[in-house]
Amino acid sequence: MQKFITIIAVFLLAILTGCGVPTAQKPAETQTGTAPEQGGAKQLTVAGNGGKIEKAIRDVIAPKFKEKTGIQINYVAGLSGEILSKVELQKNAPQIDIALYVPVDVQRAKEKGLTDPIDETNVPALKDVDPRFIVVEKTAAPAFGLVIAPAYNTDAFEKNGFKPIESWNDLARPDYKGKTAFADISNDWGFNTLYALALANGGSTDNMEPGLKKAKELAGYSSTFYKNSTQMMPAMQQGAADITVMGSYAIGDLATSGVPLKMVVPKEGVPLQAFSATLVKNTPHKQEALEFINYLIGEESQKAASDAGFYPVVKGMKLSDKYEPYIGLKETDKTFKPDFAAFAKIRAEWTDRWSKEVTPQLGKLVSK
Amino acid sequence: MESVRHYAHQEVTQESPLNPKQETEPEKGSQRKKKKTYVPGLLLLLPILLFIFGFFVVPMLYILYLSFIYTDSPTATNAVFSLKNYMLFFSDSYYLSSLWITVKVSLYTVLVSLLLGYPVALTMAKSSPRVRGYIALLIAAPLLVSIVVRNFGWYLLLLPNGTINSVLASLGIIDSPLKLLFSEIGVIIGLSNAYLPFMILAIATSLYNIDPSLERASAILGASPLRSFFSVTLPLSLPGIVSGCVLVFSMSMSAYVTPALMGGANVPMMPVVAYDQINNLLRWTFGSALSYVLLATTMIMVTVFTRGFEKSKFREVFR
Repeated sequence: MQKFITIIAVFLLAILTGCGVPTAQKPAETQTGTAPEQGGAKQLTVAGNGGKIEKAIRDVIAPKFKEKTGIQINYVAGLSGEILSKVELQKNAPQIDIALYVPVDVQRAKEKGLTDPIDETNVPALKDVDPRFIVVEKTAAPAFGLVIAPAYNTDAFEKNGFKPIESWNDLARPDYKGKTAFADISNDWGFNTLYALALANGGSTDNMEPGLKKAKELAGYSSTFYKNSTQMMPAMQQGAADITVMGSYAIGDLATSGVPLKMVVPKEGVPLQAFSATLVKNTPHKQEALEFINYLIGEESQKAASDAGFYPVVKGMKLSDKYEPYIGLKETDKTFKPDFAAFAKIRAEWTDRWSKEVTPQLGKLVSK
Repeated sequence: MESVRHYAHQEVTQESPLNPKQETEPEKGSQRKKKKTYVPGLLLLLPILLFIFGFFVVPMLYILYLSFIYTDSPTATNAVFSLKNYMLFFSDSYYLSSLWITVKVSLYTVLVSLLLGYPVALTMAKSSPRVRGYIALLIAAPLLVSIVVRNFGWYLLLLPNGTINSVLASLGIIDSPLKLLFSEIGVIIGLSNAYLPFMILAIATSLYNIDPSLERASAILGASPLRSFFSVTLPLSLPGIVSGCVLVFSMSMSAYVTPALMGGANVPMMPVVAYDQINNLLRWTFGSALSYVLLATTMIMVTVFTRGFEKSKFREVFR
């Protein structure tokens, strides 16, 4: 029996040793990990959104990059917040070399010291990037441009004779009661909606109160706020909702698949931003990662981004003709760049208040 | 009827492998033999013990540790031990109502699964082994489909303009669509659908073990089929009912996908709230405290429930 206890104790000690706090490896010590040499070919691990971004990188950008450099890209799909959590937990021994985040997470990653600086000196292609897409200076390279905007079902609007949407405030109308598809505050689309409602009612990041007040009305006419944004697409497809607020790439995707959907740019403007690539701090493959980021924001990759329904971030480049009729931005369309540092600061507080004050109003005006 | 119950008790105690009379007077030789086989027996358990220790105990201890840290970052250097996360939970009506919704929805899920599952389990128990096999296959079939896919299926069915509302409206049963989605009803439908097989299989296993002669004996003694069911079959199947309820309740309490997809923001069950805290707001420590409150509530309720039955007038059937 003593022998048995000894065996168990040794095993447990071995496990406990393995569960200790991970320590950072020096680049020279790295034998295995994210970019090991495999028959002369190197590998990089890129973490980013699933769906369209993943497809564009996996199918087009990564193979072309490998052709040029011999570096294999491993793509890990996940939500921006999940990727940030992973990067934070792997802080001392990064397994991800490049993390693609939504803007507010770029800011949060920077504040947590999870990024290494990126600028024109180490990523030369940045000089050709439209500065409107840069979400946080010297921290991330914008890669997949978008706006978060309202969109409506053109058939339903025509059939019911609904007035056109001119302001963010027009989202809270009895016309669409019960037939809305808005994301919950935990989603980036939801938080941007709250901010836009605040702007439309004289608020700002310092004073989101007017936005919250209007959001209560929005909740009253809505059956729910979607916790999962991918559920909003079938809602629009099935005709369960006539109006929504989504990322432009999702609107473009639905519209090109035959859903009668049209994006609107309200008079207060729409937030222009980009899923942005950050260089994970202390990645042992810094040079290769910078090379990939440089390629990702170059013309060749941006053509792939544009073909996937994202606004290309390179100055002068146009959105793919396929998407232009649905999500193309005209010269007269107003866009703005939110203060993402302020977003990161206020997000938790306003998320709490939304959950406690706005969510309970859901559906209250639907049955009236 | 008392005699029937007495007979059942006798049978259980006589056939029980745990009968103390059979175990308290072993021969010395066999005792020595038992000692020898003890170590290899435990060695067989070693892999699973190590697995549970490494992939369950250690992470859970880490989460417990985090739940007592009051900071927004698990790696922050200014982390301090505090009960603040728990105090925040118990002082905020939003989180308390989230816990209440979680318990309520889970209890309804158990009830629906039990009411739908028991007749199926009974049918299985009465069927020939071949039919029983087919039914088991049908019951297990939905488990082969991913929970996300199943929820999207339910979503399309339950939409205000979905199949169920359209059929009910065309039959003239309803004037306006029923609110099946983004409500507690939607989550209960989704969870019951997901966990029904576990309830059925737990009850069926218990029903298989009931000696069919007991039912015949009760009939001979003049009991109607209904009386036989309530006095013999139902009490003897209680162990299966209890384990099925515990299984379904525990899984419902910790479900994330179904409440998020079928409940939207309207049904903020605890796992969804904890996920939001951890992944969207990066409040790891508060999310950890929420997880432990949920775990403790589940464990307390399950313990009270099972102990209650084990000490009730039906305690004999649990031996």
